[in-house]
Amino acid sequence: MTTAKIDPAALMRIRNLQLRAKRVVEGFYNGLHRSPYHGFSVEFSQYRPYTEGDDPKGIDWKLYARTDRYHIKQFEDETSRRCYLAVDQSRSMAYGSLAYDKAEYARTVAATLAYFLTQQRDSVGLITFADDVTDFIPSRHRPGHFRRILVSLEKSSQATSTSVVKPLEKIASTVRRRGLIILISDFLAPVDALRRHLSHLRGRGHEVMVLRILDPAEISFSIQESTVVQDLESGREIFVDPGSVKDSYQQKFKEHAEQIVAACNALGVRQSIMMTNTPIENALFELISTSVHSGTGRGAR
Amino acid sequence: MSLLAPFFVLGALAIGLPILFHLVRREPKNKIPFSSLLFLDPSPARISRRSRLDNWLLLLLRALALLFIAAAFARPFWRSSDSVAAVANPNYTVLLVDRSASMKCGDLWEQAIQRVQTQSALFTSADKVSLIVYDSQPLVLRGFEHGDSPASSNWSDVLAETKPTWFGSNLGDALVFASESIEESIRNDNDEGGKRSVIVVSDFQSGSQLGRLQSYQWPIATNVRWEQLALPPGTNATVYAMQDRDTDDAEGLNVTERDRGGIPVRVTNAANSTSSVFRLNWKDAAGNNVGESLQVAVPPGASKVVRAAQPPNDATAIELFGDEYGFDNTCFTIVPKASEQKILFVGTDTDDPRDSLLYYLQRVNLDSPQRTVIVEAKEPSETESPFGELVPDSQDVPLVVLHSIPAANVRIAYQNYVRSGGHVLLVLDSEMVENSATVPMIRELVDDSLFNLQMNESKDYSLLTRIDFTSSLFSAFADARFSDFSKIQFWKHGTIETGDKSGWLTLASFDDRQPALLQKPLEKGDWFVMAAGWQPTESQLALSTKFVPIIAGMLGGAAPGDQLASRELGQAMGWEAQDSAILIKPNGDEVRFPLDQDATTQTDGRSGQSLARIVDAPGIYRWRLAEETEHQSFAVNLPPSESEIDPLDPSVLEQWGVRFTDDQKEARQVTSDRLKRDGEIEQGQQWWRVLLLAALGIIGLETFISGRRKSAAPATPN
Repeated sequence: MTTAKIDPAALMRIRNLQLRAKRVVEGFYNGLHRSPYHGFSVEFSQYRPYTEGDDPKGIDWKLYARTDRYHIKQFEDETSRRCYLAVDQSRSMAYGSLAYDKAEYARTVAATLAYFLTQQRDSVGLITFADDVTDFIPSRHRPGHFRRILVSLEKSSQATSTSVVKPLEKIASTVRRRGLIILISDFLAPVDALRRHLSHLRGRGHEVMVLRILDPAEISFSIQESTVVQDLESGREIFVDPGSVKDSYQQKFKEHAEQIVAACNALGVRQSIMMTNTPIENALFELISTSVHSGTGRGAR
Repeated sequence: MSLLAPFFVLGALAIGLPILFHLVRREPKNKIPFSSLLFLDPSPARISRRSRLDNWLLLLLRALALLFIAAAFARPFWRSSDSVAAVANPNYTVLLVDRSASMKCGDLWEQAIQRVQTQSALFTSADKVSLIVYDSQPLVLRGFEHGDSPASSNWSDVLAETKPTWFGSNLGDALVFASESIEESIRNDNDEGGKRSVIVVSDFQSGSQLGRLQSYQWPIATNVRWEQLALPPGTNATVYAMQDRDTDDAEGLNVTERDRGGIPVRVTNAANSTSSVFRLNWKDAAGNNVGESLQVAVPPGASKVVRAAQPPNDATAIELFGDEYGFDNTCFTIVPKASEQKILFVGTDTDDPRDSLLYYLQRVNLDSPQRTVIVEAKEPSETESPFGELVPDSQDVPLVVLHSIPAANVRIAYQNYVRSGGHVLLVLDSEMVENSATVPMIRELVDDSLFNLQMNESKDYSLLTRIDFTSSLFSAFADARFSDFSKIQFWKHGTIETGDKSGWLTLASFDDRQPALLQKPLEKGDWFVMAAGWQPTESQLALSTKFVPIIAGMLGGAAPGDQLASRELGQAMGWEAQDSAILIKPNGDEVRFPLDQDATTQTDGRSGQSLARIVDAPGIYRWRLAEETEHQSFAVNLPPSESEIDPLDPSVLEQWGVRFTDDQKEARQVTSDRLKRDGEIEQGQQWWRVLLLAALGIIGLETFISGRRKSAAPATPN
């Protein structure tokens, strides 16, 4: 399966974001025939006993013939799933030790997911944010909507710092109907606020999926010699001797990651780390597995 | 050593930069952007090995090269004393210090000495300075030719040797004198001359005389600096005892007021005064108050004439009380003493007034506050002189009217009388003309053998024509309003013939061209001959308004003492100091004439006017022509203008072309001159070439040394 995946470095050379997304989704479909998840996505939902007041139209007469009980046959919701992609565009996302930065990668991930969901006839919305919400596109399913999402994604942000708080508040206040919210960010910010607002979203019945975009150099701390390191967000500069700080960095980074994982697990949020050198299709797998694991595939209300 | 462009020395600061860069902590040059510093702690700074100075020699060479280049750009030069002296022209400065009477006010003189001290601190040894003081005349205390260096001279000490005088302030004359002394000194030195300035230290009172500037073309190159001395605000008033004739002319007081007696005094209050009520008191020679005091209110800026009560006979001055500045508060005056004069009529009188000369002469009122004139008639005597034994003084008997034939032995007495200044009027009415002894008598008396006389036969009356109005007898009628003599008709008159060269002056003629009134001077006195009588039987002269002034004119002018009654300091005396005359000053000093020439030059800055300078303080002066004669007194006072101590407006001087020093312009000029001079000196020395060559040599050496080091240790970073 991995051989079928597309090398992100090669993918990123495609300048057009739509082409990139199509490329990933089509490659995903090609490999999907051999997917272990094949057959799970069915329209039938469940039977439930008939109670007074139910529409008799829904009674499954064949089952009545077999069991002599009235059962109502339930199908998946006819409305498609509402999905919001929340994409971090802060300055920290501009970091990249590869030929492309995290923002570019995140943009491609978002475009891919949007394309995929559009293909599934789901409604897709987009929130781009940095320290505040910079763009908000309500979830729709209509011709040209995907195009609109792509245009918004390609807009560059001038903001500096990351704040997940305000986008989450915005989503909580505007998205009334339950849906899937996919947060795409590096989450290089304190965890406390994230935890509080994720729980708020979960409390409102939203499904939340967190995709952490990280550069390999961020994990391994690949700076070799003593140098001045400048914070992309605040512009602050400090002198760093890698020999003395590498261990402490990795330790703290790991602790931060663990805190995020712990917070997500506690709230039933699926969280996964996407390294920028890993194929983008993984995001699709994560999406599908989220649906499977939460038991709320198509048709969930 | 000086620098032409000192600003470039700042370039030498560049030396410090490499040293500084070596010593400060070297931070890594490259910066790496990182997504977040959330998990990074700053590492402690490490001192680079390069913080230490490795190559002392190279650093020294580089610093030296920078220093030399900076010095070369600054264009250094040596300002030797020769070069300064060679290019600088000496500045000519006149310190012109006011020492007029107004400088006695308050501490003005101390201020002036202080100001001179301040100014003299600015002189350099190259300057040429002259110290001149002035009042009504300038006086050189120290000339340009004085040998001492102006910088080292103590000018205030030189000035302190003199004191303010009592004379008025002639600023115009002093400025012209100062300017001319500069020009003359420059001419004598055969020099182009540097800056020419006149520093005037004065209170610049508005009473200063400036008239001399009107006729003087102020030199363009000479500037005046205005060192104003100021007094605290206060009242200054002055008093001036006036002559009665002053009041007639100027103040509009008429004769009626004059008759009331007393003396008119003018009280003037300065414009910037603060009080307006003053008291006047007469003083005697010892300075004690005599008589009653008089209160006067004069507003500031105004003057008022009041009539002070007739002073006691021993009063010599009137003093004003009630102002702050007392230098001008005393006005000395000669209290006029009434004199008695006598007109002698020698002739026989008739009972009929219409036929009497004496009757009309006695009715002529010639009295004035200064004199009483009486007419005394004397019968002609064959043997006795009408004057008695002694020839009378012409002051006591100014006129003798002769209407008789004096005996031959007394004629000499008449001649002596005329010679000593008397006046004799021969009235040749018809009675005298018909007397055959008249002509020989006159021929002998006036020493004119050709004198002839006969009766005019004309039946018509005659009028006076061809009147000599320049004569003292007729000068009162010179105005066209009074020159009408056509109402005076002469019914009888004699016809006089005189010798052409006998010295007769015809003062008036009849309209038949015969002389009517003749004058013949004899030494100090005069003979007058009248060809008609004034009695109404002969003419209408006695009944006309012209009669009294004509007789008064024959009495002669005012007495010499009257002329001298009041003088201003510095004013010409109006009479010649004769040999053997003696002048007694108020303090008792005697000045004997002729004057010692040395003393004259010492007192006076210029020649002449020595008498005016000897009279150098206000007071009552006495003088006499010779040992045996009587004293004449005259009062000397400050010039009234000296009391006007409010400051003068400098623009008045500017109107007359005086140029004032513009400090800013002068400073700019001095700076530009200095820069120009420095530029010339630097151009001659050109040290910058040497410095630049040295810097190039050092750079070459540095390059050589550093090249060798690199080749010796190519791996070692410098």
